[in-house]
Amino acid sequence: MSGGAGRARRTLAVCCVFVAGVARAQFAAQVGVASDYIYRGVSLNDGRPTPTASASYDAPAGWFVGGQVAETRFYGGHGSEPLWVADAGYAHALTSRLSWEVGATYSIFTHFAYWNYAETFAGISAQNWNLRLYYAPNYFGRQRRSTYLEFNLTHPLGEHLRLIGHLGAQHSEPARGGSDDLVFDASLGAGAKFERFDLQLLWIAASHANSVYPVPSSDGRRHWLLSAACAF
Amino acid sequence: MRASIAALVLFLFALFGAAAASAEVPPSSTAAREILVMLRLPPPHYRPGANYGGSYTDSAGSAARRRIAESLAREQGLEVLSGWPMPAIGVDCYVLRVPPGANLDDVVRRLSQDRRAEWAQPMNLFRARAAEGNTAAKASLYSLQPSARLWRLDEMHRVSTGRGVRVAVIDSGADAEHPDLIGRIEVERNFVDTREHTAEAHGTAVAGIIGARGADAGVVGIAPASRLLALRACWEEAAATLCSSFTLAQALQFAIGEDAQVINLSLSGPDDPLLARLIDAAIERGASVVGAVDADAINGGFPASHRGVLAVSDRAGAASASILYVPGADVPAPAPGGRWNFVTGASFAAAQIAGVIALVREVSPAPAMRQSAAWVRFPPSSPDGAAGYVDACATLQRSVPSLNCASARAGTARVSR
Repeated sequence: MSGGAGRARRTLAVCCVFVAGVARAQFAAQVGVASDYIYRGVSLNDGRPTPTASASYDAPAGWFVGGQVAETRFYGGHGSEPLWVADAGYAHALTSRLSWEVGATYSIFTHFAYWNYAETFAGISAQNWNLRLYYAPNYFGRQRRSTYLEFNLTHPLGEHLRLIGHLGAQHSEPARGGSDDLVFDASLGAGAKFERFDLQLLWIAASHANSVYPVPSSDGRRHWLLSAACAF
Repeated sequence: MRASIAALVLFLFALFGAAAASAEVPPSSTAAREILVMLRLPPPHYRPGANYGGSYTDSAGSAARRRIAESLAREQGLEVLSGWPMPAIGVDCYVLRVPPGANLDDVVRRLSQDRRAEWAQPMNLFRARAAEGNTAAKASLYSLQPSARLWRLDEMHRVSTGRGVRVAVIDSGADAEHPDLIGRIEVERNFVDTREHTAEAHGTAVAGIIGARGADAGVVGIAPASRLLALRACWEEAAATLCSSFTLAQALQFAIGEDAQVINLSLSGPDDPLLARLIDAAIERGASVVGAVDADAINGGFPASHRGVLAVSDRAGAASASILYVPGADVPAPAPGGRWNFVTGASFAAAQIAGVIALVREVSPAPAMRQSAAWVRFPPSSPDGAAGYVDACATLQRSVPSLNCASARAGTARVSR
């Protein structure tokens, strides 16, 4: 009888903690449209516009989960297909200026399940910049290890406008009989935020074609990207 | 192409929405019925789809917190007036209006107990520490400045002018067109209303005492080469200069984001948890925060009483080891409209200390100026009433031993009280 009462109390306590956590958690969602789906300097939608949707859930202790879906077109595919990316991680403020994070993502290809892959990341962030290192043991299901380092910077130009800059470097293990791939990508542009609307116009470039990605055309290395999103 | 058109339509819609939302609200008429609610701002982290950008204040997260604020307001019968991110202390701050008839303290208590909120507090009002009835001053004011007579400012300027030190003047509007301030204000922001330039007496005087450029006929700022951030968080109402918790918090957050090295707060009011946390964040980042003492308050008033803030008074009578005393009576200072006034009050004593910190920080990048022990005082034997006041020249000499302060001491003249 006492064991049952103890279990009930423990269950109640866990429920209270969960309910309290849920009460303080924050759920955010965003839908938008972009003139292309550019990922690490590579068009994953063959230069075509794509709708996007994302959601994230922030627990009070620093845990977060989220997900995104966007339209993609791959070599050998039959038209467009959604690419789902789920993420989870933990972020913690180091000081009033800096915070660190660790987490993982899992990418799900609707028609090419054997491309599904997991990637871990760690990074530090300040108010206007972040630095992240990603590692995937089986990037895009190619049996190749991949490391990606990115630096993102925003600079406010006023209450609504901001400059946006990005530098990235991806190192992929050599394919059978090939050599290492080291590809740099960068972007520069501007963003505007009005209440719940966010607009971005970016110019994106990659140092050379990245053979890792199974895209129809890997020649395009310079892109303009216009995107708009509305948050809920 | 379709996506581009859709984006442009959204852009125009967003512009229209922003313009409609910028209506001006009188700051003091409603402050008595307003409260502040703070919601947790999660640390920045990976956001799906945030390649090529991303910022602390991501749109989706902001919208989520706004939704929570609106939900809290709806449940309590309140109205959300505005919100502002305070990433320096990890919260978003929302202003809520309490309807007539509702007990303000009860509402604050209920919201503080709600787990969705970090905390809630009343909207406090703060008052600049200036005496009323300034008198007009005429040209050639340098010789009348307490800093010139007591500290030999010209000698100090041989070794430091505060060059490059960022000083945030959180006050009423400073007159950027005044001959003493032309070209001296690097950044101007208004957190009270939507006007671009507002010239008000208190803010103009404080900015001038700290950083006037020393025009032929005007005053010479203590730190004439410092970089002034004129942040309007106060407004003039009748004969008083008032500020609110919210406007001050916005200005403090801005000053922190701009890496201000000196923050001057020539004002005082009740203890305020939001401002206290922002001041802590500023100090943690290495800023020196200066507060004016309210002689009528038991503890000198907030923020002067807050730990780490340099408390400055203009009345040397009630000596306290933790308070810095500086002459603050009949200080010549610029006034709006190209005029000059003699001003009196702890506000202007604090402004002088803010200027001295800028001088020290130019020559000593990380000075321990936050402790009052780091400051040299005139000894009790000093002539003509200088005893007990800060000896800025000797204080600066600790960082620049070659500075000649002997002439300053020998030339100490009568100090105005």
